[in-house]
Amino acid sequence: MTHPTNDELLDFHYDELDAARAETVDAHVRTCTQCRTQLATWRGVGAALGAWELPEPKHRVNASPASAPATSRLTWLARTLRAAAAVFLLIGTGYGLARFNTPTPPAPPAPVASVDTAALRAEVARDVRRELGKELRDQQLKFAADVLERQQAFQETLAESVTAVERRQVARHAALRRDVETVAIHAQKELNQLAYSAHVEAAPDKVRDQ
Amino acid sequence: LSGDGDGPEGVSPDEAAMRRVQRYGDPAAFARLVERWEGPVRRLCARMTGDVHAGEDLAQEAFARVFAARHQFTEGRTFSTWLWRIALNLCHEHARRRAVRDEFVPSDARPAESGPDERAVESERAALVRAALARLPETHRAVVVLREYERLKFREVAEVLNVPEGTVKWRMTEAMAQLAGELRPILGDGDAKRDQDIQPRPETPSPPPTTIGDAGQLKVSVVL
Repeated sequence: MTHPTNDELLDFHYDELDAARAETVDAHVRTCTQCRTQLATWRGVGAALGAWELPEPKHRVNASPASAPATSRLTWLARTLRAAAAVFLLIGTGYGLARFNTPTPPAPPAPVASVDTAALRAEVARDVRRELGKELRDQQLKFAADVLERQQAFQETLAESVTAVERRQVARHAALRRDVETVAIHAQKELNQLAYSAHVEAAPDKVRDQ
Repeated sequence: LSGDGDGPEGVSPDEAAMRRVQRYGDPAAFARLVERWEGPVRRLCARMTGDVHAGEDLAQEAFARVFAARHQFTEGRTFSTWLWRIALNLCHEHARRRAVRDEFVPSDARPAESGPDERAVESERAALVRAALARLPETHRAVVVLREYERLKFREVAEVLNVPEGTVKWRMTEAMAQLAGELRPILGDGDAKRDQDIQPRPETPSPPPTTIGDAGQLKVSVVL
């Protein structure tokens, strides 16, 4: 009984073998316990791997080719324009409805009408300016908060790393110091011993008297 | 490997869109590419790093690199192969950065790879699979993720990793053997579990052929 090669069996498992060869391998597998075992193991592993399902992302990839700050600027511009358009629409609709529902005065003096239009324009301009200013302030605050948050996170990480390195260096320094002191003490003892020996050799009688 | 069908000039939609991005910086074409490939790239990065949040960040970075390097995308290349390579390189860089961080930052000061919410919802089986994948060598993990999760054919995996197809199959066999051992507690009650006790096949896989662009690391050569 000739077994298919490992590569062939792998191709068979993943359905990448050409039809003719797949048929041959299939016929072999039906009668070969070893090959069937191998395939069953791979199937089992494949099924087990499916247990790790990923959650839905919290943030989608930003599809804008520009950088993030530029993107947020674009978003801000679009939102501002939308807000301005909404304000115009609202005021225009209100003005139109008011005009439609208000009975036309019999003989409106022309100067009064022109004064109303100017006032309305000024009011719209004020509203738009106010809306734009508010939106701008909100975005600036948001951006500043974001920058601050990132800076803090970076500083915290940096501080942690520096503390860890510092701690390690202090420990190494202390160990080195201990070693040096031990060597120094031993050296001192040796020196004392040598000095005493030299003294004894030089004047043995004196030492004996003492 | 790349697209569902051919474009008007016999070019797949991905390559056609990439060409528009390359020539005109077309944001709509780029958005189409992102929409189509965001999920696969995010999944690849999450499974390669074992960290869902890192997967999201790396996917974002991968598309930023695609746009930044759009002029280096040459005609005749497959967009998806290029994108997979960029994503895998980012995963490799992420792993390297993490190794450096682990060396200098004490383990108790390190942020957890996944937050409490993620850990709570992750089942025991999923955690076992994640840990087993993380223990695979990076080169083997890339093969398993691309073949098992992203359903690339061996030929396509070989193209992405720039190694011979035989090497890919050898890595796959090795990885599956290791995973079978690690995932034994959750392997099915049927054939797979029973077969653990049976002797392995007599024909052991041949040693890996000489690789082309692989020097024991995952790093895939792509010019950015």
